[in-house]
Amino acid sequence: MTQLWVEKYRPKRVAEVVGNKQSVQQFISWMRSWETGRPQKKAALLYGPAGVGKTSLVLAYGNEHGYDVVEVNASDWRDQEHMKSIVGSSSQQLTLQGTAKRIILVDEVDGIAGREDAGGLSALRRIIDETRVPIVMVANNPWDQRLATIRDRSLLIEFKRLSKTDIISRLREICRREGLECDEQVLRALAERAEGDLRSAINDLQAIAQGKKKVTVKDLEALGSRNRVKQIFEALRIIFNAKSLRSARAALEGLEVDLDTVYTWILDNAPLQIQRLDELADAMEVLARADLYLARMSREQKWRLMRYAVPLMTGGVALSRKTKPKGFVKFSFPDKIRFMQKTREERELLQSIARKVAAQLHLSSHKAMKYMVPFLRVIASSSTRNAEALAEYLSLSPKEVEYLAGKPLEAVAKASRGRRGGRSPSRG
Amino acid sequence: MSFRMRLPSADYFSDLVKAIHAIVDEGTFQITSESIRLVAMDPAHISLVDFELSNSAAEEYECSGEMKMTVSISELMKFLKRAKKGESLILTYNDETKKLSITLIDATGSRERTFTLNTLETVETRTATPNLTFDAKARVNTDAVKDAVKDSSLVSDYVKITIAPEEVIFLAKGELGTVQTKLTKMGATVYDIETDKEVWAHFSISYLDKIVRPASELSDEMVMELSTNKPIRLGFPIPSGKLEYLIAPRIEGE
Repeated sequence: MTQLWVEKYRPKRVAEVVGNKQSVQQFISWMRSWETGRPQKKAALLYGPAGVGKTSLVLAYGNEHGYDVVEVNASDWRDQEHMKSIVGSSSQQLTLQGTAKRIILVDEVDGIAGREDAGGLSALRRIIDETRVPIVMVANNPWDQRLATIRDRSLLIEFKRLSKTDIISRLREICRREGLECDEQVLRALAERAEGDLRSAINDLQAIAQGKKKVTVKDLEALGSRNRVKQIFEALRIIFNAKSLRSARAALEGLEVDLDTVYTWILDNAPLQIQRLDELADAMEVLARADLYLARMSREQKWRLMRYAVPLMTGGVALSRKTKPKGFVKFSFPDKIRFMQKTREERELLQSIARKVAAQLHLSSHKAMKYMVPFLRVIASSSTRNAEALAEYLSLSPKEVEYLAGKPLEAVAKASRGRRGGRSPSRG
Repeated sequence: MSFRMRLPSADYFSDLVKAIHAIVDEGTFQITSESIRLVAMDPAHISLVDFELSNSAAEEYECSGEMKMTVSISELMKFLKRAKKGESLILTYNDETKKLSITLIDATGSRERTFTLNTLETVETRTATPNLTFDAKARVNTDAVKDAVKDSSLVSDYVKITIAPEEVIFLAKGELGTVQTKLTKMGATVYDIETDKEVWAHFSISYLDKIVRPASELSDEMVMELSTNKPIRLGFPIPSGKLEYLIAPRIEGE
């Protein structure tokens, strides 16, 4: 029986917690306020992406300062009764050592906010009001509407994704303690893959290091790719094959991709997956509606519209498709996203030019892009002198000037020399 | 490594497990050549059970080495509930297959039923019995305590337990009213008190109730040990074994 490294190397002391120094400090001073008297907020809500040390910090603090940490998970408090009997009782009694040194750790509060909550959250709210010991909640997404009353009662502490450097140094430390030889390149690749999630990085490392003394780049292949595209393929498969609205909706749960992107994926794949034209028309109709909601959501910041947009774009599409295409039709990568990726560098360059123009000419960058940039292109490509003057006036980088000119600067120089040499009439 | 234990009464073992089940759903038995022992806290970390049954309780006892066996107490309970009066019990555990067999044999030996339970992975936890000292100790009648707890539950969620040199008092106060039970030394309910001062603390009635009720089937007398505002220890003497609980008190003051 091998122990999971994430457990084995969980920080024992606060100083070992990787990254998020400010959040750690915030937590420590909140705990101090409990130790020295009355805290302003009786609960703390640690939030941020998975695997960045939220739970670890609480456990490390408890371990280091001799606290009894009572941990409850989503499964322990499906309903009011469980909530009261575990968290409620625990928040009113001393520890079995006869002291009040206890921290109650409620993991995944956002997870319970959903389907299975039967009064658990409101019970938790009352418990926070009356607790005599610190209650720490952990969530990935603290902004759920149902968590509002709990947010008001809690000190919010944000945790961010960990930097690659932090992850690499922790992985290196683990390798050292495991007596494992590991290429620097492998560590870098693992950190890259993890996207700021130390837990998954450690799990990956353990997976490829299983039973080895040395890990090389070749071993990385064993991991396959756990990237976002794979997740979205899975979600699409569920959506298009769903038999009910509910199951189609559930496809988006836990998907770490923004709604607009998911929408594009569904939109682009619908014509491939739905072959009967009347059914496709129905699907496009609901997608169009969903699109309207999505647009209003972002324009007017009315996030409540999500509850209409999501069922339409998932369930609506699922139910429109009544006949399955013959054989397997594979899902394709949306053209829009591919195009956007391809043109990303260009768009960024353009944006940066527009911003510089906007600042210099007191315009909005939108207007600068629309009305100025076309002329600047002409000016920049006309002669080296003009291009240089423009670069100086707008403090453009060489790359930006070249982009405006549409060709390398030497080419501009050559072209303008050629024109002068040919004594061609100047074209104003 | 393997372990085998034969007990004369399946019923009795079932009562013991029921008493453990009062506070935990899952627990790890430490099995040695001397005894089987389970120390576990409830999920809220308010109570702790310390159970031990030594090999002298068994008709046959074989243990080839120290091992740990983690089981779902609720599942184990389900099987043991099937035991009939007069049946004896054989527990067998194999450390490699991680399976626990529960064999029930009737008095004549004509029927033998075997249930096999998959055990769980043992998670290393730091459940250790806390080091506590107690200022007062009282030996009392279990049913009297059971009644006192039941009565208190009519008005409150908490009961104040006081052990004084001459008496043991249960006092519950609620919006509805108060309930007091006084058990006097040298009566039929209090067998002995060892203390030179008065000590007290408040305890959750639901915890007291879920512990004392099943334990009252096992022992007519119980030992209560207490210091002011400290956890209480409830001991239920059982033949060739130990069944003790700790319950943490309520946090007092503002």
